[in-house]
Amino acid sequence: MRAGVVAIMATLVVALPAQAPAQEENAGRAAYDRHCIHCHDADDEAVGTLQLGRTRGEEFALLTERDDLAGEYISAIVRNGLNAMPGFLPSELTEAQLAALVDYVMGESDTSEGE
Amino acid sequence: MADILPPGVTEEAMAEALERFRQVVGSEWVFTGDDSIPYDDPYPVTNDETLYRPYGAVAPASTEEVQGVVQAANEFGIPLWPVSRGKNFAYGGAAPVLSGSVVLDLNRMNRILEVNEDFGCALLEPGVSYFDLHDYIQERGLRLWLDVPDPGWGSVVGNALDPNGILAPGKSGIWPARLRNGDSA
Repeated sequence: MRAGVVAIMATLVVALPAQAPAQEENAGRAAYDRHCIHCHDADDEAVGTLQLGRTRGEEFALLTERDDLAGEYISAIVRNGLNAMPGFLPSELTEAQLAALVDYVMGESDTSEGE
Repeated sequence: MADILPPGVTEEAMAEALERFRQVVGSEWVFTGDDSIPYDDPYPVTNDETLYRPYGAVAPASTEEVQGVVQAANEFGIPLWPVSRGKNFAYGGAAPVLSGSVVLDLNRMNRILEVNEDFGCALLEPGVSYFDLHDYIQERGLRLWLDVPDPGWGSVVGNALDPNGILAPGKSGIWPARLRNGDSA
C-alpha cells in the first residue's frame, strides 16, 4: 500500500515540471485571445494587422508570424502602448500574464518559422 | 518628470495614504512611478505634461477594499479618480481630470452577479467588459442580445453610467452609491 502511494507521489513529482510549460502556454494563449486577437488576428477586419501591413509591409502584419520582435519590446509596447495602440493596465494584465503572453507570441513565431 | 501631487497634499500625506492603500489591497495592486504610466492618457490633447497626470493607481477587488481605500483617501485628503475598465479612449482613458489624483481602478471587480433572461437585465461589477458579458450569455445559451459599443473591451457599467444616449438608449439602473467616507448609500 505504502509503496503504491510512494509510486503515485513519484509520478506526480515527475509529471509536474512537464505540465508547467503547457500551463504557461495556455495562459499566454488565453491572454492573447482576450486582449490582442481582436486587433491582431489574421483577418480583414483586424485593425492592428491591417495597420502594420500598410505601414510596415505585409511580412510584418501578423504578430504571431514575426521573428523580429524582442520579448522586452513586446512587453513594453503592451504595457505602454504605441501610436494608436493603447497600453494595458496592470490590473487587467498582470506581470505574470504579460510574461506568458510574450512567451506565447514568441513561441508562435518560432513555430511559424519552422513550418 | 517628478510625480505631481494633488493640490494641498504633502509628500508625507501621500506616502502615508499609499501605505494604507497597500495594507487594504496588497502592495502588488498599488502602482506608482513607472508602474503607473499605463494610466496616462494614450491620446493626450495637450503638450502640457503637467495636465491629466495621475500620481498613481490602486486596484481594489471587493466592496470592502473599495471602502478601505475611500476611507484612507478621505483621511489624507487624496482625490480619487474612479475608472471601471479605463478604456474610455479618446476621452482621456484612465487619466484623471485633476493631476495628482490616484486612479481608483475597478478592473479587478469583474464578477457577473446575475443575468435575468426574463427581464433582460444584469447585475454586474464595474470591471465586467462587454466581451465578458457576451461570453457569459453565449456559454449559457441565453436568449439575449447585448447592445455593444465598439470596441467591446470597455465596461458595461461604465458605459451605462456615462450619459451616452447614442450607444445605450435603453439603459438605466439603480446603483449602490459609495459615500465619501466609504459607506454605502
